[in-house]
Amino acid sequence: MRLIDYISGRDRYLNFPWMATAGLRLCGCTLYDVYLSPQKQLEIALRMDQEFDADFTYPMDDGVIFVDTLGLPLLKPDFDFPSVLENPVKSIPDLELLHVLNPYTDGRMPLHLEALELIASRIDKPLALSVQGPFTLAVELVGATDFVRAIIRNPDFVEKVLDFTTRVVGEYVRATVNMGTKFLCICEPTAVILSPARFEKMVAGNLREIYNSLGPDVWKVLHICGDTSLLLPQMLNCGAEGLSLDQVMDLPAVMAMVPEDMVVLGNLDPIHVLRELSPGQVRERTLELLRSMKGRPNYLFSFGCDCTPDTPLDNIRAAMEASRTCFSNL
Amino acid sequence: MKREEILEALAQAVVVMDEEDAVRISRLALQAGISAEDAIENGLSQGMAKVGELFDSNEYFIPEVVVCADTMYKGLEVLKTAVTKAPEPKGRIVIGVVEGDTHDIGKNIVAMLLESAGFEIHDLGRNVPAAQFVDRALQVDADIVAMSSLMTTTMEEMKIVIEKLRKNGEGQRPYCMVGGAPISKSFADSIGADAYAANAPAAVKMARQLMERKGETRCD
Repeated sequence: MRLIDYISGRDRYLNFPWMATAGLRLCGCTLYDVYLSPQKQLEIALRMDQEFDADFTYPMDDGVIFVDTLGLPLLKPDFDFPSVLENPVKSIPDLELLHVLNPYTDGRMPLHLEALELIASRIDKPLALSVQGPFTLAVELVGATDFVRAIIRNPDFVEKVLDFTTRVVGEYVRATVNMGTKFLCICEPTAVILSPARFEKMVAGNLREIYNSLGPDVWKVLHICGDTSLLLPQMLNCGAEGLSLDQVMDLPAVMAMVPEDMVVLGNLDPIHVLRELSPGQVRERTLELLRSMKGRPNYLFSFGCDCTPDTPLDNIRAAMEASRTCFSNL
Repeated sequence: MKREEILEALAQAVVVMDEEDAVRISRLALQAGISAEDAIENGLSQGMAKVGELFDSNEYFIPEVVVCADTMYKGLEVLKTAVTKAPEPKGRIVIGVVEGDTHDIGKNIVAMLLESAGFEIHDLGRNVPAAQFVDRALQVDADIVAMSSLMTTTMEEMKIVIEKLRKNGEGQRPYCMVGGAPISKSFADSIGADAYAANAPAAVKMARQLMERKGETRCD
């Protein structure tokens, strides 16, 4: 069954929220407590399901699992996502020091796989997973400024790094599918810096390769932050069946441009709405968004991006409750 | 070649990312009796201004902007050896990525374009604690503190920096300019920033506008 078939034909829109580290507050754990414990991953997934009742279940977002396993130094806040502190791959010999990761043996990847299997076995909802894409991983390895220089000055190096990261991401997502991942969202936030032609060459082809290797039973989604208006034609043809778009995007305008079988996710503003407004206002803004999607069966309610760690939980509840409003009550 | 032709060729070397030409024409400019200051301001900087226009019109993207800036710096290396009197900077700017965030490409590009536009740049790098912004701003008597955040989860740090600048600054505090993917004008207003820039060329324009307001009384 395709994603469009799963979400359509219902009496309301389904929801897939990006709730970032909200679960940590519910369970009183630090982020690495959760990353290193499949049992805590399950505990949080159960608690999030109980609190917010999303239409998908998922583990704690883990955008650094590749760089962490590859040994890059990270800034690790207790209650927020880590960031890469050093970008060590400056040349092909540097790249050759790295090996394509084995998901079943390397670093904390086996723990993550175990967590996925546990969540899939205990929560009867489609298991959704977000992972960093090959382009964004490549930029993390090399460093953004050096990488964009190399795009023009050293294209062979860029090609080799992207080949490596595509293999790393591909191996891992295939392993996660074996553990029960049903909805795979590849996040390529850094790709927003590219021209459409370079996006096609450096991002779309590699995504197509990974998505095609997953088989028809996995729902393939792409998320890119920021204004992706210029990249939409390429994003529509990279093998994804769903596009998750940032709050800066004009969603009704996008819906008019995409094929009817392309699912569009978005894009309640996680900052100016979810974080800043009252629960009543959040509810109203959520309903406004749903109403603007009326007659669009390929719409899946979501936030424009991850919400901030200090987003009031009552606001998330308000958004989620409103998102379950039946079409007849909109 | 006439002065105008040399300066135009220098600008063009930047636009087409030709580092060898940037070096060669910079030397040629000096040999032709063009002052280093003139070649920098009316050659290299004009090239970067054109790059900003190409970026605004979606003909150039971030990779081109970075490599054009690299090309400009190659020419600058030659010309700076001949600068007799350092030109008065258009303004002093302390710039950095706020604490908790290590995404620095936007900040790097803004810093490059500001420098090419004649501002004196004090780049604190990434993951910069609020106190460091304040200390450096006081130390160099900054006109502007420019902050970047690329994560929704760290943007609140900007507010902390602005509040500290208000508390700690003696006399008139520097203007505060913010930017980054999740930042908007309304967020900038809500935290008391003086300016918001959606991209690097806009940051240059905003910095120029702020400098025109220098001396005005600010109501905090």
